[in-house]
Amino acid sequence: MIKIFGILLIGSLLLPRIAFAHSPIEGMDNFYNGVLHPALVPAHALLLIIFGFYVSQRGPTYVGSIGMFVLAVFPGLMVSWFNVFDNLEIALLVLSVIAGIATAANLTMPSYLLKMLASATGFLIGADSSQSVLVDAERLTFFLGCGLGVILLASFSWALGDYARNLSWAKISVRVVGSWITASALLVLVLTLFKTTT
Amino acid sequence: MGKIVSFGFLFFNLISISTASAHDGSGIAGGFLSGFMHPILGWDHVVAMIAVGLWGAFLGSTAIWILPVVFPMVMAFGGALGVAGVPIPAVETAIALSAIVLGGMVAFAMRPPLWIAAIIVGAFAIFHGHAHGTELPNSANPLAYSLGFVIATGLLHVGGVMFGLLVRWPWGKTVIRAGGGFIAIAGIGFLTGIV
Repeated sequence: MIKIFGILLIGSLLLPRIAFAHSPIEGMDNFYNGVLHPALVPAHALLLIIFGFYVSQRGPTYVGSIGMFVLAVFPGLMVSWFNVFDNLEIALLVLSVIAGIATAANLTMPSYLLKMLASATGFLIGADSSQSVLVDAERLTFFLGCGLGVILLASFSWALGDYARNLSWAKISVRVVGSWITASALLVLVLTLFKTTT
Repeated sequence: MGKIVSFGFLFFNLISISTASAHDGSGIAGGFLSGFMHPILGWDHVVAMIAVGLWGAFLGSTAIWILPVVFPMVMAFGGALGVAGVPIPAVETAIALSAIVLGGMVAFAMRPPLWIAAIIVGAFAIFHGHAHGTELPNSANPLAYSLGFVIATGLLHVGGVMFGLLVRWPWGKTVIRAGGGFIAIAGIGFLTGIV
């Protein structure tokens, strides 16, 4: 009897039911939604990950570019407040391809170029985070969360990449991830450009 | 009494069954999953990707990562051709040939210079990329889809590399070469339509 009951119980757990895996996001407050925003927008997440990896791959000398990145995020968010740009995905993908190729090939770029890349990354991600459905304090809370989320995600990937610098296999893994992100971003870039021109 | 409870429980479960909709093929998760499964569900892709990693590991320390880095970059180029609708003749034939050639390279312990190996792998990557790329415009989320299939492809390479690490032992070399032979035979099966 107990065995039958156990089998039925396991069966009941395995039976398919509607999964509400992502429903809590709708009920989340604006700050937390903002924090998660860069992680849930693939174009933002890819660029932040590969940017952090690339800066870490270059070593401690170039860590100043993270500061440029952080400083550029907030002007970007201010631009986003006024909904200046409609869709910046193409620009984000171009930056992902540049950073991805540089990471995969372990290329060193001049310091000023890396700072330009960092500034452009921070600014464009900020500027592409508009939330037209939110107003006033709700929007401000969202943007504060978003700024924090963008900086956190880039910092995590930088820290992970920095840790990888001490391990030979992990250094290779970072370059492999660079090639993966380049391939993904390049494909979607071509698709977007092709759709735009036809 | 016990049977009644059991059947009652079973009946309750049966009438409460509903559609599982966590991964309904839409949005980011659906796009990623769809892309991730695309290379994995095609055996011709699977064996060729494993062969890339296997050959890389067999060739040595630099090739072990050069080939898996080169492959997705060139695959993206092939995918871009597919997205743009540029026709490439005999894509499926070339994919089957990739299994035969790459598997054969491992089976016969061929060790060409690294740049030649990269060109061979890169040439076949264009056809694999083209096959994936033609599916991209139909995806719910193209970026998630492309990320899914690139990661799946990369993980298949990693699988081949892991298998290839057996090369450290003399018996391992024999096993790897046998694996290469199996891949080449599978490729012949794909080419002739037997598999």
